[in-house]
Amino acid sequence: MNNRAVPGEGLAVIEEYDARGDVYVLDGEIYSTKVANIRINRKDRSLTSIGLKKPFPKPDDEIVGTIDQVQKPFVYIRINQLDGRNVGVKQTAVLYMKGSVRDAPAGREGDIIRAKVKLIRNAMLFVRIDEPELGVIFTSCSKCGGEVVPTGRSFVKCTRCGHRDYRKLAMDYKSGAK
Amino acid sequence: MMNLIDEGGKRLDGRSFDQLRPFSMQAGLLKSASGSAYIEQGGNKILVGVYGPRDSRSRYGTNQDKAVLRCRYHMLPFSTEERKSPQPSRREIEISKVIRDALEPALLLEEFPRSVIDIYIEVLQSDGGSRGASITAASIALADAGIPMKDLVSAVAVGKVNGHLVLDLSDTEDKEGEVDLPIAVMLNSGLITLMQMDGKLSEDEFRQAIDLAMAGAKELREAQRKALVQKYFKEVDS
Repeated sequence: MNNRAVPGEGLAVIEEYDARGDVYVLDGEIYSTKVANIRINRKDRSLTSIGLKKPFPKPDDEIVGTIDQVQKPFVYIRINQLDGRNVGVKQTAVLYMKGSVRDAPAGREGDIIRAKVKLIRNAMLFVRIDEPELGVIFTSCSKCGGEVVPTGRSFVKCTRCGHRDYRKLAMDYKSGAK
Repeated sequence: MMNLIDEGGKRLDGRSFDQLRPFSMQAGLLKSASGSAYIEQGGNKILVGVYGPRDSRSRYGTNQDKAVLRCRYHMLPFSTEERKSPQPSRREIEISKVIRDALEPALLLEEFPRSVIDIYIEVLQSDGGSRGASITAASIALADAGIPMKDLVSAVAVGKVNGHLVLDLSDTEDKEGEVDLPIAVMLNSGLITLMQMDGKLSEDEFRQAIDLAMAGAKELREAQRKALVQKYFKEVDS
């Protein structure tokens, strides 16, 4: 059997393997549902079809996006990158900030933020930023738009107007923005 | 009636009755689309872009249980012999619906509730049988977008010309022939997702026409597969 498949390509019959991943079973036959690589594990008799393109993020996928809107306690993020690859069609993810350390939005409109998908409910993506490498990776002053420098782990200070503001900064703040 | 079959039993373009027009397919041409495809079949030149699944901006027109498939078939002003108005015509609106209905059974839309998937089909040059070619190309574009599918959908028209059943009608055969029967099919299950008929066929002829279409669809499906393999695995499949 070929180790690659396109949608609708017959892979095996259900008596042979336990079908996993991007597969579809019709009349006892296993078909791939995506352009995929096929992995066969002869020990546990499983066949896994791994789609080469993800149309929709899955839990624990890393996203990088631009903050579109802040409506406490929600932050809406327009996804630009999924697992390091640019996405053509932008989707919106929601960051829920209630109960966070400062109960304040992690970033402001226009900031670039890195997050991980927490869960997907009704096609709504909820993301989290509770790891050190997650958070704002690029920002500017929310008052004058000037350049800011981090002061401590969670604050930034504008070099032009001196305004101090809260941000949940990622560990690699600024250097992480590509 | 115009004579469309010569004395040697060949059609105007030199094809035999069960022969498809020369075709080529390519996947993944557009950078900003989730998936795309280009097809040339005879004189048809068609570009397809798929966008989505993406969250719908409004609640109107969305489904809580599955993604909504939207399709726009559009012929460019220079695609026909005479300039065509860029505004969507009645025919284009109908074909958009027909194509959407032909593709929907192949897609696992339940995986993306409250989302929309848009298919944009631009006919750059038209030469009869453009709805079939559009379905074939749209199917590649959907697979390129990573949208899970039960099977690729392949489509081709069968017609009756001077009393003979012929495969893959050209523009002249479409206009001057007696019957036009476009068929879209998912070959694994044998499920026909589109069938429209202009003209009349006897029961026997109808069965023969289906067999002819299935043979043509099989050939197209292999080309669809090759286009995807070429893009994703960077090689020509033997």
